[in-house]
Amino acid sequence: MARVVVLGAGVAGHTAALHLRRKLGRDHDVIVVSPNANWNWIPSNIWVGVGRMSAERVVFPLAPIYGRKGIEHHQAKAIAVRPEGDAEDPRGAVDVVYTDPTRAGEEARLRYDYLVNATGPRLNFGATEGLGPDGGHSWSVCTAGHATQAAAALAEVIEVLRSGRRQTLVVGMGHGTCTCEGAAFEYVFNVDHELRAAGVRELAEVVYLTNEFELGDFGVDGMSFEQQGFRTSSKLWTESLFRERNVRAILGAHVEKVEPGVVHYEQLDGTRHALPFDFAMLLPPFRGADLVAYDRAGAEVTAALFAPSGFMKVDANYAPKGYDDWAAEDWPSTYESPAYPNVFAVGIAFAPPHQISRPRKSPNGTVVAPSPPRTGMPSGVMGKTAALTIVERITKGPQAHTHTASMANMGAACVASAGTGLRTGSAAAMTMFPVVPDYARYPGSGRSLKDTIGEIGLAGHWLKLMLHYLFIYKAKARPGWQFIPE
Amino acid sequence: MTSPTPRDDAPLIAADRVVGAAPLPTEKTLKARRNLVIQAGRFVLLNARIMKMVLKGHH
Ligand SMILES: Cc1cc2nc3c(=O)[nH]c(=O)nc-3n(C[C@H](O)[C@H](O)[C@H](O)COP(=O)(O)OP(=O)(O)OC[C@H]3O[C@@H](n4cnc5c(N)ncnc54)[C@H](O)[C@@H]3O)c2cc1C
Repeated sequence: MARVVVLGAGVAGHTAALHLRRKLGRDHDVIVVSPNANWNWIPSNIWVGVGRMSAERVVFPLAPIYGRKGIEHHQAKAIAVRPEGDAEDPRGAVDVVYTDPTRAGEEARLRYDYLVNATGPRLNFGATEGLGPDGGHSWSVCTAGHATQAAAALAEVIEVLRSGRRQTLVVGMGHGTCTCEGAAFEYVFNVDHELRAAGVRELAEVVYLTNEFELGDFGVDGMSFEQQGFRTSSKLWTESLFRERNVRAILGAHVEKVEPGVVHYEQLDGTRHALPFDFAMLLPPFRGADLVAYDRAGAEVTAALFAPSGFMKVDANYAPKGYDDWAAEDWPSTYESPAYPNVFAVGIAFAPPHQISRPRKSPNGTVVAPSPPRTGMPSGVMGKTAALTIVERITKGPQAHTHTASMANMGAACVASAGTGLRTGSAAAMTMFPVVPDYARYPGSGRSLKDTIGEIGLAGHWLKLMLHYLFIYKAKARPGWQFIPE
Repeated sequence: MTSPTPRDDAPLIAADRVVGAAPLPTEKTLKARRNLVIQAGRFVLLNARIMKMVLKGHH
């Protein structure tokens, strides 16, 4: 009998747990540790953040699903990993602290034969003074709760606009090393859509404040498209949308500080600026969950498992190299820890070997470098890949086939909503293949021009809405869920 | 009382210059983006493209 412990019940962890349970007999245990009682379809938080969807529609309780499927659920937060076990037991173990209200604060040590770290991002608001809704001066849409607060603040600004007073709304990235530019891009166009729907758009100035060197970078160094006989770029395509919707931009910015009503930032040329605002939604940079690792004797071995960013090291090539020297093969494909082959990290939890977007520095030494995005589709695929490898090892032995899925051989679909409504909605739909450019395979742009596309229209909105229902159906493990691709 | 932070528009103006040079969609393109028949076709195509990508990336 084997015990598989999955840390995190987000896109990657929940997918891994469901596939593990589907493939492993009931004599094996699948255990999920997650501090939240609920599952959240994060992409739809954008609609919660403009008041078009209630938080209840993007979250659901995990307990009934895990109960039905026979997955053991601990509502707890992992704090430490002991890959060699302890004096009592040589099996790997995880130390957890319960967040479950009935056991809050209680600690436990859970033993495992295989561990999947899918703890996602720690929202690092602390990296920028005054950032974030908890004690800071800006809003966020990273959780359903944050998005609900942002929607209420936006509604207040719309009321002020209705009274005829001009307002400035700033949406973007709260630090030079943020990722998830796609989410801020989506939110800014949803805000624009709401302002238009309320008939107050002319009184509002909408500003997109980003760490991207140019629009359309999205943390993936932009994309090349072939359209109507021309080779064009996501830069031109995105700029066109900004021009059409009259959204202004500030590029290559590192936010230094957010004060009540003012954001202070430095740009790549080293100049420092201030922008007063009436509403600001600024995403935080991400860190890993900052788990600590110990060896059997209790000595700390965190650096053997984790990168300084708190993300877990996997089968990537982490040798320091210049940006131009990196190759597609440097990206991981099995998500196995090189130190412990029964430990995997999937989704945002694994440490990426390098940036996809070219990193830059200001003359003052400030790093302005979008971090690589690890979006929903690759996160789900990684979760499934690690699960299938573990199943094979449990059922066929340690030499069994290792499943692979590299982001350099995986596509991603980014459907950025630009307004809701079945007839009035719009979205910028982008697909890229592969996520990590492979210049050896696709000379020039590094990506397949057949599979990398961008288009704007109502169809994208329908697609986004369909994904909302489809992924919630899948996450609820309703009949046939396994046939819905990650 | 501290005086309000002065607004500094230089970065916005620099980006306006870049964005201002981007092509604007014509009325025909805007209509096509909302046309139910055209968009139904695009919807099918988009789904087909995503499925192709999913199949290509799975091992
Ligand atoms: C606003 C927003 C919009 C987005 N829109 C899109 C989109 O349109 N399309 C797209 O593809 N992607 C989108 N993304 C990205 C997408 O949400 C992520 O790719 C995906 O959630 C990553 O999955 P994950 O499982 O790695 O992390 P998460 O989904 O964040 O899950 C992490 C899990 O780990 C748990 N956890 C955290 N710490 C611990 C701990 N110490 N112990 C145990 N468990 C822990 C968390 O509670 C959570 O359950 C968006 C992201 C944001 C923020």
